[in-house]
Amino acid sequence: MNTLTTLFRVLPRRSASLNFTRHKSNSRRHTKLLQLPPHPSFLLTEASPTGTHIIRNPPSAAPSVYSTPSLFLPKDDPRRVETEPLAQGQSLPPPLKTPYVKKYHLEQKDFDEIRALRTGDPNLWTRAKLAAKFETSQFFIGMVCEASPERKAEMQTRLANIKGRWGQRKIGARLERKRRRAGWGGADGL
Amino acid sequence: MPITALRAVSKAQNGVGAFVLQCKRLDFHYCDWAGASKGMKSFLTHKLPEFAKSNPQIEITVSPRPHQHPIIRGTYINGREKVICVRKLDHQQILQKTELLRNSSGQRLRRITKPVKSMNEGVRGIFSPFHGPKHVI
Amino acid sequence: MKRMRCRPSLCGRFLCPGAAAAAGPGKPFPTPQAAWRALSTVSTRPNAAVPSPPAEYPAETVVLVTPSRDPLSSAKLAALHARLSLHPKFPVQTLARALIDQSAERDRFFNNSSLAFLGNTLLGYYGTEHFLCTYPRLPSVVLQAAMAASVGPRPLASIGREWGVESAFEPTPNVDAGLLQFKRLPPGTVVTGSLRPPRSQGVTDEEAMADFVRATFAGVYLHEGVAASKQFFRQHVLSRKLELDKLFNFVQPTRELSRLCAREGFDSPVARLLSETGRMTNTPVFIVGIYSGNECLGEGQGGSLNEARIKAAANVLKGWYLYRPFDTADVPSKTDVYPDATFKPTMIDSGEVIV
Repeated sequence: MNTLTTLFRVLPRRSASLNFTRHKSNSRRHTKLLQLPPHPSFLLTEASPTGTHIIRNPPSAAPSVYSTPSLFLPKDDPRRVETEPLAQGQSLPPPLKTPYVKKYHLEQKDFDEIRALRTGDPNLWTRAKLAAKFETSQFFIGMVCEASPERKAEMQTRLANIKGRWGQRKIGARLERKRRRAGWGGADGL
Repeated sequence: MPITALRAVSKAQNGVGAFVLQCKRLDFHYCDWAGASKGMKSFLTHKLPEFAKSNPQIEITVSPRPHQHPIIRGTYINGREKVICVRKLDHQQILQKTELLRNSSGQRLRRITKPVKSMNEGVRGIFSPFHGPKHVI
Repeated sequence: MKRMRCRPSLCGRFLCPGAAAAAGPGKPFPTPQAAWRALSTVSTRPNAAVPSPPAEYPAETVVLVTPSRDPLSSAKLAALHARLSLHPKFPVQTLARALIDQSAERDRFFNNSSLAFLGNTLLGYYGTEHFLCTYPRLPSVVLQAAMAASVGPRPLASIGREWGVESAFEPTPNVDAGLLQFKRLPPGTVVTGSLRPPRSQGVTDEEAMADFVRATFAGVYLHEGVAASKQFFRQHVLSRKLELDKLFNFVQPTRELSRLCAREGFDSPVARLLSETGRMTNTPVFIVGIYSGNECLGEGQGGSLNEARIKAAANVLKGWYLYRPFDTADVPSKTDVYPDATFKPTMIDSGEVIV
């Protein structure tokens, strides 16, 4: 995506409409649409079972929050079903981020080194560099050693300068994004 | 704070629990001079007491409206009013009009296009193309 | 309603107060002064002697008691009583008292302040036990929001309006007994916070209506009994639609979810991509499911991977908090109605997730 198109994409990226409701422009079309042909499982064929049987036809819909997953049910709840282990060829869907196993390999002397490096030359030894060197996360480096107040103040000033150069569109876009993200926890009503 | 709550107000579902009749008041107006009120006067004398007794939840008032046609005005809980002019109708027809006003909800008359109107979600949920058997092209 | 001068032909049958006052056992009030102030049960039959006005009114003023001021002959009040299907044990006098706010009448034996207090207690009790026994894991802030949404002042005011209760413009002594009587505040008055004026100066119509509804609940409890009051609550409050899942607002649901799984001893949650479409377009859709081990706890949908993951975490947490037991537990007030019945207590949860 080149810069030109990025410049002109002023509106934030819309997500698809999350209300899957059907509407037709007139009631005749709507009622006609409701006359669906029967599902194949309802039709009798030679392969259909002849004795009493159960047809499982789960709805093609997202699960509701009112149906509690089995793991969350208390032990004495009769609806609890133990999860079966995965079958031979089955696998779970791909994870968003490869789950990592936490390593507790750092010791006190490593912490002292981290602090010394960071306070010594904060421009060179940033959180990212230290995280790469000690094979840990930036978050952990931040927990081990905070930057000095002067460094923080300098970074705040730099950020304020950058934000001061923003135009109205960028400010608006950022504000909208902030509000949109705040709504993801439930405030957006979806 | 990990969790906050949003403010809301519960919505009424008249009839799910208690049923509240939407017609709260009926005003009957008649005229002593004009002949169009003949049926209305007969209704007021013979039919209205029984109707009022069987519908105690409606406040009924009777008053003259001189030199005007007889009317029935119904006031509803949603604040709207419905007026029916009952000139030259006989008492049975006026009773029918009264019952019509009593049975009404006060909403505007509108054409119902959709077969079902409900606040509750369907039992099967809203269809999503991402769930269920995947459609193979 | 505009009163018109009527001809004797027909009006006499309907507008004569004597005919309208059907036999209802009304207890007369202790003193004539009390009768004048609020619940005048002074008979307005043409031949009855009208008592003289009390000393506090100036001598030259003649205070008239219109027929409908008497609760027994107020058509609005009788209609309201029937509309709510109240039992004959519930007298119209109590309903008339419930319609008189503290700001309209200072004497506490003639206003609804004590009834409203009792009603508020009852509503709080029944509401809390309903939510806690139906959803034992509900967080406290959401419980408060659910209570405000079902028995708070706004829904109660809405209930009052849906019962067809109208408000008098001014609480003068000659208004119809079936109107809600309260002193109105001047427009533009600040009613939130510490600048709020005292009750005697006036109340908002919402507060007055809410107090009337509370007073009615108290009246049902006092006159008809506990079982009837619980039924009244079920019919008028619980029948209303409230979507509890729309009350939740999470700030960092992924963090809260991982704390929850750690606390309960589940496998740590992993977000997995279930389905997607249009990744390189203007309107992508991603469906992300949160898995603990092999089990999918919940799903979320969004226009970006982050959004879908956060929504999925929020839905999983809602699935945890909105758990309903298989057999709905008995509410504590069951023993008020059936003292000898067995009581099955509700599940006590370990509490909210502390992040």
